[in-house]
Amino acid sequence: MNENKRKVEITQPSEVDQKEIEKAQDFSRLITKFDEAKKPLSQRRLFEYKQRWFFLGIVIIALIIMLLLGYF
Amino acid sequence: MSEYQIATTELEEIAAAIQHPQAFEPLYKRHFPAIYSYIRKSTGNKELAADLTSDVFYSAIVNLKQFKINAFGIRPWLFKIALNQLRMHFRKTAKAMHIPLSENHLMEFVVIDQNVEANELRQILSNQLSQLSEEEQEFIQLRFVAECSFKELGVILNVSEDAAKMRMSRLLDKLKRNFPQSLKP
Repeated sequence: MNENKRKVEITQPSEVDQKEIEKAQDFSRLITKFDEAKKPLSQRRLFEYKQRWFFLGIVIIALIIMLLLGYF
Repeated sequence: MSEYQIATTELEEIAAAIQHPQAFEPLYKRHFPAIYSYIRKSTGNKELAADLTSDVFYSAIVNLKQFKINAFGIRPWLFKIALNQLRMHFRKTAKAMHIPLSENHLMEFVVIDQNVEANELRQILSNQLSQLSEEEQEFIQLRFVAECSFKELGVILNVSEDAAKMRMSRLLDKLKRNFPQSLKP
């Protein structure tokens, strides 16, 4: 017997809805994730770096506009 | 289509997918429902099941070169990956693993008359199965939740079909032997 016993719950049987399966199924997302992971590390880091500065830039611009409009 | 024909077709699809990941799509579409349903029933959570299933197929597509050719195609291998994903999930969260069992399935676990309520049996079995090792719990889950054949179970557990049957029979006997005395007929 295993020392770390995992709790088990016997539940009522239920069939998984076909619509639910179709909704969860997304091959393009899988391929995007795969392609993204295949990119060289430096390229990915560059993308994250650019993304971070892009959002920071938006925040700074918004703050300047609010300052100019006398919001504070 | 026979098991052999499916496996042959899959080998061609796997070979193509190793070269071009886009070619993995037929395999993905064919096996997604079974893997998703298995994870969904084990966790009881839609969003979590979608995420874990996505991780299973991502892991499969990344490690496709490591797939060892067998007569049963890729299905048992995908279940093996799903099993590992679930194992990691339950170790991390310490949540209870769900094993949905119909009344007919419940009867395979116990030697008892039909008068005992199914919900009471479920409660007793929950306690009993919680005492089993992870491997034994997973074996039951693969058989009754994923509805894997003994052939597939053999591939997943690296044993022969007969050994898988024997293991299940011993496990069910063990559960029946340990069934609470007060409820035994």
